[in-house]
Amino acid sequence: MIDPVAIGDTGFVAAAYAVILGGTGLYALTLARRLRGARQATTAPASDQPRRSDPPIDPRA
Amino acid sequence: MATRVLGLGALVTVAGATAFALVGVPADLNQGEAQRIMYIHVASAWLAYLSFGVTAAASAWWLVRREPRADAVALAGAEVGVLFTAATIWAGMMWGRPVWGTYWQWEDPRLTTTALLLALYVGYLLIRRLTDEPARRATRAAVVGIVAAIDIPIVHFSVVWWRGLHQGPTFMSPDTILNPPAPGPFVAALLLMLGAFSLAWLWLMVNRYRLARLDWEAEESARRGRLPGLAAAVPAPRP
Repeated sequence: MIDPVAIGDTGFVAAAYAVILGGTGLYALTLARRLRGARQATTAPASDQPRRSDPPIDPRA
Repeated sequence: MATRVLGLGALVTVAGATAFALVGVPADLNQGEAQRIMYIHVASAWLAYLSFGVTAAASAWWLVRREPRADAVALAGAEVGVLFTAATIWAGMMWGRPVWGTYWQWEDPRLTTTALLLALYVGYLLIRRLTDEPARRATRAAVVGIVAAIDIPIVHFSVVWWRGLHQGPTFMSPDTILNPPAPGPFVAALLLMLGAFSLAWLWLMVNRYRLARLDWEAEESARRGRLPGLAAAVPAPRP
């Protein structure tokens, strides 16, 4: 159990700013990544062929 | 390009406002260092109000016009609003422990109605996940978005209507805005933080709106079987 008195006022200030700025930054990064993924998904050409990154299909399987 | 400039501007101003609030402004005589939390707490609270106000307005827009972009704006406001409400509560708790002697008090009307506000809009986001049909989802969410907005003035005026731990409003009328009951550097730090957070809020809103629009288009395309790559993945219905 952490004693709040031992943390001191500066600790509470640091905790408030770090969590809020860090959390907002993480949300912004996640949002940017999701937006980039969504854009790539909607601009990908329609195709019934497997992607180049997919492994070749084994006909014996 | 404009959004990138906005994002960079938000990053720089938030960093500057944080540095000013933490080292540029003197500590308060009575509250000491803990008073510095007020800058980020109040800025977050104002932007939470704004976000949910945008959600309510866009929800009404959807119900009247049925435009997908209205639903996208409403969703962006709710999600960003939840982020800033959580930030408000966290900052308040970090300030409350050293100044009030407690992190939280359920008897306080401001604290309790703010927690209710957070719960309402988390509920709004959960309700959106109950159906995959975009129009039905938007209508259900719009009703919740408008009803939940009733709590915004209750939160704001709770410190006037009821007595509790939370202090009364500092900026309540035009007179107190022009003649603030706080030292100039404190007001400058608060306004700087509010401006910086507003830029960040705008960037988040724009990008969340764009993501919601792309998601809507993808869902509509998938429903019609026209999503790129989906036509091959989903077998055609048998005649």
